[in-house]
Amino acid sequence: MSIIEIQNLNKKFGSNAVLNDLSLNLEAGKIIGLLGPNGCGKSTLLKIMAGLTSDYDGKVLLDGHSPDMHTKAISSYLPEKTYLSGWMRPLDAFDIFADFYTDFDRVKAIEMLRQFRLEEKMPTKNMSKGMQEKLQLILVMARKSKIYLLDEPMGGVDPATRSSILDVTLKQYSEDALMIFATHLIADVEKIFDSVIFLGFGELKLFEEVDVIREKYGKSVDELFREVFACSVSL
Amino acid sequence: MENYFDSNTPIYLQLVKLFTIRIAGGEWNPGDRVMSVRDLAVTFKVNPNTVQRALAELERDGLVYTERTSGRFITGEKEKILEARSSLADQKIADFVKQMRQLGYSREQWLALVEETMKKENT
Amino acid sequence: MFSKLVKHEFRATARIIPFVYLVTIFLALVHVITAKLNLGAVSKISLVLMVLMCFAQVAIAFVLVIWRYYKNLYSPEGYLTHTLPVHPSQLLWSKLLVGFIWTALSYLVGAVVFVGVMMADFFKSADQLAEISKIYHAFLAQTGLDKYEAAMWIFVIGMMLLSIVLLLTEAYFAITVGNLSKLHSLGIGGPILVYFAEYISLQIVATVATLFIPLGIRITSSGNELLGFKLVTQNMFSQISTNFNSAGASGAGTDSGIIGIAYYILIPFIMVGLLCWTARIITRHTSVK
Repeated sequence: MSIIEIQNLNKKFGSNAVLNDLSLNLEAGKIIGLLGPNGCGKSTLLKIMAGLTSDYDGKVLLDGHSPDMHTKAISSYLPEKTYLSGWMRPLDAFDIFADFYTDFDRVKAIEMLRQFRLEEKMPTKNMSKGMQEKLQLILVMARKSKIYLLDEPMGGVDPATRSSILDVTLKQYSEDALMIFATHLIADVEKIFDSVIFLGFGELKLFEEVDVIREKYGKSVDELFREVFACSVSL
Repeated sequence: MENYFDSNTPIYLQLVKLFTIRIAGGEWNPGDRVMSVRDLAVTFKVNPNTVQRALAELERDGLVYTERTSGRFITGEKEKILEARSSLADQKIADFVKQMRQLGYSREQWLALVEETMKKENT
Repeated sequence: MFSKLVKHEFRATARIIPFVYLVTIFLALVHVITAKLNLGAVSKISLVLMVLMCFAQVAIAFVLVIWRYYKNLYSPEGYLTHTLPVHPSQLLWSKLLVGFIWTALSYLVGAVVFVGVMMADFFKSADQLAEISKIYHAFLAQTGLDKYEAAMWIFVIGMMLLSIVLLLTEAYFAITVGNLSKLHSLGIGGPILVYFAEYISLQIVATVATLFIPLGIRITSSGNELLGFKLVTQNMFSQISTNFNSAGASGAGTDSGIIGIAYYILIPFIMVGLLCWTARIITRHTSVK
């Protein structure tokens, strides 16, 4: 019973095929790693699922619907970019989320603010990039959604914060939810995934369980990834 | 962040070993309730389903049992625990011997080394 | 959901736009107070600035409103806006409503401040106010509009409000179309180009409709005296060529000309059409960079 169904997804930017005949079925109750070299379609795939890009060919269904207001109500998207206005303080952002999302837990959000040592009334323009990212993570994780789309949640933060982000992600896990975690920091993170998707220049190179990869190839996901993509840097 | 894991064996098997060590060594007491899957996942920074799989293995090995209404518990059967302990110890010893041989020590040599090291520890 | 969008739209824009009005009001107060205190030079300067602001604030409010539309939908803020669980067209309607209210308010504040200061400065007695009222009514009588006084005011104010909505529509359309994925490479040039194309197209439609669609108002006059006007189904172009051909004839007698009004009738439909088209594009062709 797949909560996300993708069939023959094609997306071009100009003449460049960013996603090439992609088909995937993803189930709830899993944490899936979306791995691939930068610029290879990970963000585009997540944007399509989040409903931010409607120019594509093929079928994309979230809980049975094409991306629309219903899927937006049940999915939580964390982009790489900062999307909050400079004047917004955490409390303002919470107001918006509380108004539009019935699954937003304001109490939990404030609790997480304290955990991450952010101030309720500091406008985002006065925050460092790391603080902004933490705030956006809080907005996503304070919602009890069916689908979580996380685009590089650990990019540009220090190792201690990475660790707390992993903790938050694991605590957020639910049997009813699907979490898709796109990252290029594989070694730190592969243990939290059920399965991983290797996306190589828009094509599905691999979709397999982490432990099956270790059994079958005798390598970690990180090591296999480096082989498959023959790149020298995978932090 | 202590890294308990190596990179080329399945994580669930490594978890089985980690949990067994804690049970065998008494860190997790007989009869205690096992930490929740979520808490274990967060503690070891691993996927909850993987934790679940490891715990299922432990149940098969008899080290852990599930009571339908109250949850998972460490077995109270001391024999099982001692069995697990000695099995782990055997493996550790076998590994040790193999590695000492790799380093070129004979049996007498490494036995003597162990004695010496233990004497130093005691003083 | 729509009311929530409107509420948050106000919250975001109320942080800046009202301050523009405050500047105008502040200048008005400075002027009136310094006049009372006989600080002649300051009083005059602040009056000039205030009058400028009365007009400028409309333009500033308008610019801020369309900047908000662009920023909230097509800058990185769009990642939040477009993932809200609302029908995408509601984003357009809520912004149109709030944008309209701010711009209309800027007209209103400008008018009230202007009239208020004029009254404070020049019309200090009831007699002078009565004078103005007399002139106003005389004008109405002369032009034959006195029968239609109420309709005339409704028409004038209605036209003003409609023109605000039309301007916003044109801007929103240009921004939305200009941010289609095909035009992403043009950056800010996209909306600007679309706006030019839109403007030119509308001018062409306006010219053609005004001249050639047979619906106009014939105005007859003799010399400088306005004799009357009525609705006719004749097109403006034919009248112009008739007048042109008989231009040599001497001046006595009545002249008449037709002003084509078809375009004004068309405007609301064009506007609704553009808005629906914009809504459709937002819904079907979302492409946030």
